[in-house]
Amino acid sequence: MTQLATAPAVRGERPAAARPPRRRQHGAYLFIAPVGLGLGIFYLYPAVSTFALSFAEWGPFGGHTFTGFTNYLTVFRLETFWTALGNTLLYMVIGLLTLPVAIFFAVLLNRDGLRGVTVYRTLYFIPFVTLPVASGMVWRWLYNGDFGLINQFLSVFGIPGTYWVSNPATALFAIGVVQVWSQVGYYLVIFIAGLKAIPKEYAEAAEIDGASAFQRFWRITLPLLSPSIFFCTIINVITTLQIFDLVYVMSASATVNPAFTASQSIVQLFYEKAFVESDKGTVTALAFLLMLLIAALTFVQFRLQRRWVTYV
Amino acid sequence: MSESARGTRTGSVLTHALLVLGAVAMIGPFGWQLLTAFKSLPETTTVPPSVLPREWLWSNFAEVFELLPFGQQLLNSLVVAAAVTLGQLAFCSLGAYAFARLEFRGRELIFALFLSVLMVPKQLLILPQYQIMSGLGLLNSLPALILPGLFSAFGTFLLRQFFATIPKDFEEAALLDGAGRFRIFFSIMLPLVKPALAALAVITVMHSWNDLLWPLVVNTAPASMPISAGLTSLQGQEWTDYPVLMAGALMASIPMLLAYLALQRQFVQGIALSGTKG
Amino acid sequence: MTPVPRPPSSGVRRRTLLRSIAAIPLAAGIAGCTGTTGPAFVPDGGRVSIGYGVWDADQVPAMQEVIAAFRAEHPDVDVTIQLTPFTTYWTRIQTSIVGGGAPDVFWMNAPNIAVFARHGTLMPLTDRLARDGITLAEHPPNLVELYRRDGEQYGVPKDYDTISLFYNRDLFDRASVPYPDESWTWQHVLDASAEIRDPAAGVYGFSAGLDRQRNLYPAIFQNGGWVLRGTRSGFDDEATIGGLRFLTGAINRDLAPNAMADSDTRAREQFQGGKIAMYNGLPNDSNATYEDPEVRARTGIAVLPRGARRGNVIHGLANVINARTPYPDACYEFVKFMAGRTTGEIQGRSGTILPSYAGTEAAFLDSKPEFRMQSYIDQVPDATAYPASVTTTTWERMELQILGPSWIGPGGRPVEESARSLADEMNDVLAEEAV
Repeated sequence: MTQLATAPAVRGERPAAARPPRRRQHGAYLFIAPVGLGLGIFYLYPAVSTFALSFAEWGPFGGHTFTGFTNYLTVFRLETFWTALGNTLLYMVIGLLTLPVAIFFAVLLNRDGLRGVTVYRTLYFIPFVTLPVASGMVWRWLYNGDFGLINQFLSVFGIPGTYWVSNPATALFAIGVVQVWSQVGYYLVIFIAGLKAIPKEYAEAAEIDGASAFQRFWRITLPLLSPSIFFCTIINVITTLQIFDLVYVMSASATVNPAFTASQSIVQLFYEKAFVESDKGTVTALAFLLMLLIAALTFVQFRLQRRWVTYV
Repeated sequence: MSESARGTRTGSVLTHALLVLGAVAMIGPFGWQLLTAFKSLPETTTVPPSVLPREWLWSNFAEVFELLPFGQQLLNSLVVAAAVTLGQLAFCSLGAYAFARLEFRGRELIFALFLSVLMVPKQLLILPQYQIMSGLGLLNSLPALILPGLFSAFGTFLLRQFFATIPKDFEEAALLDGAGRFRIFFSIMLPLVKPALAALAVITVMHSWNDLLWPLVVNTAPASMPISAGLTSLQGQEWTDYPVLMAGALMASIPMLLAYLALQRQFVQGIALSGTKG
Repeated sequence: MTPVPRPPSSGVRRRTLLRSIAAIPLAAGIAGCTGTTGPAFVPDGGRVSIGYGVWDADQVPAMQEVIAAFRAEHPDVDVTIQLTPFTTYWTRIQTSIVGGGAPDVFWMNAPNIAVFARHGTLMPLTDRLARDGITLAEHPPNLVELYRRDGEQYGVPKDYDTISLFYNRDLFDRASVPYPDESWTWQHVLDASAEIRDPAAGVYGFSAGLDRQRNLYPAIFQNGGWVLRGTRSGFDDEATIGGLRFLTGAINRDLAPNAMADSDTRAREQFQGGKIAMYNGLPNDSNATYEDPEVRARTGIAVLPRGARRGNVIHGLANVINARTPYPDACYEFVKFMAGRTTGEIQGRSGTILPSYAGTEAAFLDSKPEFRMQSYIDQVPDATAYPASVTTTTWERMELQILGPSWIGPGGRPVEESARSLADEMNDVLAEEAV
């Protein structure tokens, strides 16, 4: 999985690390050996092996036959793949809404002299530290069409509800909302840190110039926060492209949920194909395509950052 | 009273109103979960629902223990999280130190390999990892959950960034005193990157505790499942008893919640410092 | 799309090459730690230990009792139960048959028997059974037939199930409708449902959910329809569609909850909660219903109503033997024992499952005297065997996905359309089987 460090520490690494000491230190290999061997066996070898096997057909009881690009063609012909791909991109778009929500609350919490900041922050962070499986179950119950709290609440206002997670038209959005809910606290923490780092003088100067609160936010705060936003966008996209736990718990079962396909994510499709349907050949190709998708979207974001990210 | 002061006061009331609303949205679901966990199944299917349970039933909590080896699964999660975290702290810090502070042949190449691991989504690795575990005869065992988690390219990368910032004078003085590399590592360098180690520990614990896909794949026997996977088996294909499910979900969330409330500062700093949940 | 399973002999050369490429780094990396592979069970002082793969935790106590009884006759054989939950059971068995650690004897069901048999992973039993003069005549014949492929018997039935109608007496009393009995037809069900339906209380007449074994297949067979003949799908047959229309019609008339409601709250739960008056249940569905005293008191069980004719579906599990077991003799003895009267009686007494050995059901009936469990046995003559072929798991999945849009109530896709499209797709899959 791709991860990045905010790396307050990155600055100044070069001089310390790059200048060679008097001689090479062979002991270094001993330092690297444990983690290096572990990564080699459990990560590098599996990656290479998956790549090799994505060009082979897997018999149900073992045995591989080299079949070229057949698995990839099978995936492309698979209707559920295109549905899952579209769904996953939608999850990504919905997931990105986490950022404006988090910024909104971060700005509120950043107000001077506000009381109870720690209490709010503690509460907002709780969904993030809750076991995703457990959150998914709680929300599945809230969303229940006949006995769920949400529909009861809506009925007070005369709004008809639906079977949120079982209705093909609503399931994906219902799950997406929970994804946003569970992640807000995390981005909130990062944005609060980002806001704290912005010198107060900028806003004060603008206020003296007669800029309104909204203008100050739009012209000063947001651009200065853009490095944090960029970082959060990258993380958010990578996270939601791999969405699984919530979908697995909330769409529950392929055998009963009419919205199963309509809310299926790529990783969920991967799990079904590999471990329920035992269709391993297709799955290796699928996993590779997912990696390409993540890499491509991450690359695009890095290319685009020049256009909108302001580094002071 | 000046106009701006009044404006500030209204503003502050408004701010609190919005924040409270947000807090209700964040915490409200858990309140409903708590209430449901004490109700009987027929009571949860009444329309409109009663807010408070007619009778506070503790039996739903007891039933979780009947349906699942719940205590065992909690223990599994704890053991796995502890083992994985200790392993990562040890192995990653060793590797990170070498990458940041030592000069050796092939350093750039090996580091590039590490970085390439960082780019691979974990789903890609699952089938071969599963076969390795199967080949080792480790399916349905705690080592199957622990082994791959002991090693982390991310952890190595994160710690390397911190080791790299430490001024050279610290270890050069020690070198002149004739201290060995391992001694310098343990007694001088490690203490200097404590905040980074804490950050890595927080992320690793959370990640290990929450992980679902891998446990679902390797450990299908209830007694060897961690709590995340165990909980999903309460949600049957044919049958879901919501009060029992809510009780189980509640009990499964509590350990991490307690850890968070006790170590809030470390959690928040760890998250902000490393910038990802892994 | 599942690739067509090939006989194990094809493509050997490339496969070997590929596998060795894939295995090199692994071998280098962990060669030292692979000591645990090899025969999974070793004789210990002349004793033999075999693994027994099962998926239902409820049945483990009865299985342990069976093992104890077996060991009284064969003290030299140890049997260890390996429990794997159903969702991952088949993947686990398939992988472990290749990679090692597979159980020597394990549970088999109708959807999976053909693919396991075709790949030569199961030990043939015909000769051994003939030698011992075992005809399996005590088990329902269509069940025995399910586990015979190309004239070879691979499995021996241990239990069976048909479907019965569960009804909520309170809801019938409240609507002053007489209880269902063997005279009931589909029309009775619809009429009673119309009386019982209470939108304000969220009460429905019956469950017509998208459930193959409980609802779809019985309705199809009751209308004289069929699911599978050779490599042909029956879903474009008018009689089959008529059976399905009984279910979707009830949903469209708002007498039965639609598939979305069923997915949010399952039929058995709705029944327990008193929200549906009737639902089709398997024998072991009665366990949960029986457990709650309040629900037990108000629940009745009857035979299914008739459509154009009486119809039901029979399915049952069989014990099969891993072809690669190091102990074929011990395994065979165990499976033979499991096919006998003692095992039937133990299973029946446990009340968890209906044993397939004729004459041993009595204990099962007695385990829940308040319920008319006899209904399950009475319907065996009406029952058609659970439809299955080599690609069962693939087309079963299609059934639910393609029929689904017709199960969401008014405005859903017409059931004829879904059924015909299902027949087309299913025929494509079935055609590949013949290759």
